[in-house]
Amino acid sequence: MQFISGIGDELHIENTLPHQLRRSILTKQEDIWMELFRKRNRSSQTIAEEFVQKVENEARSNLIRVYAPITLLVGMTIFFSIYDSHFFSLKNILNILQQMAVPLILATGLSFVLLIGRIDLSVEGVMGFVGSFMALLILNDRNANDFGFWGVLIPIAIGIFYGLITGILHVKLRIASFIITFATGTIIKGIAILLYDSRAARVQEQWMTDWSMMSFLGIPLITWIAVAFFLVCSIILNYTAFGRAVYAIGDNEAAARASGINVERVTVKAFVISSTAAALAGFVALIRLKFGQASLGDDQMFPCITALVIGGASLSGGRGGTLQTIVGILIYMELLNFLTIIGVDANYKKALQGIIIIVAVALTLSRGRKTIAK
Amino acid sequence: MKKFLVLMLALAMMLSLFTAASAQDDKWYLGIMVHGLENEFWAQEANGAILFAESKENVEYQVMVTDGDDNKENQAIRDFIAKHGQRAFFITDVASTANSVNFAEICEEAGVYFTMLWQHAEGLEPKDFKHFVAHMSPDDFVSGYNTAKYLFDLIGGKGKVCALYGVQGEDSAANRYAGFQAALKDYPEIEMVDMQVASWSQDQAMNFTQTWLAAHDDIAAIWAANDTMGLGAIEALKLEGKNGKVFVNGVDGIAAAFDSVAAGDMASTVANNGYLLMGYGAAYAYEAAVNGKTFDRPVIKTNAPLITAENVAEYKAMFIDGQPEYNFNDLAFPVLSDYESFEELKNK
Repeated sequence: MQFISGIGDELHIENTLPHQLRRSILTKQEDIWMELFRKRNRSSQTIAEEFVQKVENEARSNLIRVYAPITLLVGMTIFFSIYDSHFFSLKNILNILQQMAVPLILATGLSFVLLIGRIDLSVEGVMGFVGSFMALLILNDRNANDFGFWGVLIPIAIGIFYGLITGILHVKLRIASFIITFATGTIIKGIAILLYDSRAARVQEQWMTDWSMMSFLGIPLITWIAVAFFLVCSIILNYTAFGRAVYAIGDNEAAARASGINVERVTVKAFVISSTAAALAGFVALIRLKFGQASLGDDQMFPCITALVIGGASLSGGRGGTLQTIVGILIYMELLNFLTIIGVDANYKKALQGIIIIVAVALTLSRGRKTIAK
Repeated sequence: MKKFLVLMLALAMMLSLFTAASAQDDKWYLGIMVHGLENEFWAQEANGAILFAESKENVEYQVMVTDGDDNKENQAIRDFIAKHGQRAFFITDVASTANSVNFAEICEEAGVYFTMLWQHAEGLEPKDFKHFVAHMSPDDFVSGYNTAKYLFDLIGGKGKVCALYGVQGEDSAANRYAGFQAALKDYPEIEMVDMQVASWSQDQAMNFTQTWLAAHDDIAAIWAANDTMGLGAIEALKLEGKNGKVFVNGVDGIAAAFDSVAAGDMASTVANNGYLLMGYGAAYAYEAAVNGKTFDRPVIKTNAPLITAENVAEYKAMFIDGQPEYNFNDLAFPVLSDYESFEELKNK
């Protein structure tokens, strides 16, 4: 079918198309056509050849966007290692690996939500709930509970289920994800506080102490857990129909809907993955800290989102992926670690962090961007 | 149907307004303002105030959480005052230094008595406000100094030390660190290698400590401005088997810290005693509101004992396993030292 007709200086879009689809096609094609019209007077190529070239250029700049963060990461690592020998010491590397377990898990879950253009502010609350409730169920210093395996499984299961609730509320009530996840996150954190009645439990399980110190091939166990989760999610994102649907929705939700994708179902599933990540992160955080406060997840989410954006993800959806996630996390963790190693004055540290983040994101943005990202 | 429901709703609201307006006149209403309840120390404070309220027959209480948010606190107290008028009185762990002024002004205007804990803005004096009954807090400077001194003595007066700072901008963080620095001056052979802002967070304290252990050899002690951060540092030390060998302290006196001191991981903590602070704080405000008592020396520093392995068992039994029994009629009990004004305190 001919939706777009008219070469020359006018564009006619068929009026039979749904309004959103029309607009989105218009915006995308507009960019390309504008470029062509500008160049037309300067070359003797046909329109078709120019169009092909334009698409190739875009693909190339996309490549830059994907590989710029990696280049940045490698460059940073080399620079930091030269600047201070303690940075690349075995102990420090192991520390970074251990400290990135929780952010990696969270970021992996969040990347699904970010890809479809939503955000999940409830992860901190879910983390805090899972951690503190779990601490109350397994062997601890507050009560006589000793549920062992079930003590681990039940809170995680509740956390996963909570993502289902959040997703359904978001989709059915049509409330913006920002608001609804903020609300659900607050609710579950409040429940966590009620449960331990203001006195958090200290974990006394021996296996938890052992797990926090265990490592295979030199890499801490909790990092392995994080990497395993990351790999599973990568497979889901890159090799399943669901993963494709996520990308499609992020790219152009109206088009995805028109091509038969059940946007509601995919959205809910994305929130379930995000809360699964949060639940797992709560479990891992508890292994590390062995103290079940509801504030276990506090201040964890925004650094993850920052890391994702540095890695190349976009807050309005459609861009991102597994490579971006891990690169972004590594860049962020290395940066924080380096600033501490060289002993930057605490008063300047926050400002410095902010500046470096702006620089890092600017460096990794794609060239040829025509609109300011929301 | 809809109109009927709306009418019923309006009637119900009006009825509730009437019942509220004709509230019993022999009750007094205590507003308990805390930062949050997820932190054990803040919960201790709230429980202390509740202990007081329950000891008096004519006091009803309400615990309100501010999350450290000025606007939230101000809105909450305005609503509370609107509900109970001049039969309200407050005990507050005020949301921020800046809000101490707003709090004082709102209560003064409404004619409501209050006691304030911990933070206060520069230049804010209880004597300037008729309804500002008292300001109580442990002496954070002294807490910081005592815990630092104890640490330094433990490592023999020389060695490398790192410091974990609280939330930037908070009085207690600044004062405790000032105490630490004063102790540093007294021990010229102690070298402070680094200070990081861990913002009262266990996770951040753990990360910083891990990085320190990798970046510097032979750290002898880590000074933490509160228990939670101290516990985070200890977790990091445990991963390298250095707990008990590298000395750590805390401040606040939460249950987990007591256990840690008993286990030998934490060298010392300070029992800030939230029960005492808010319990007696509420008692002071009550005396002013109900019995019209005025206090000539309203700036009060409370007793906050240093907890070490020697006295941990005794204090644990008192504060953690039970709830302390306080005689709220003995208003001199919590006072370590009192002053007419902050000016006088500064100049002493």
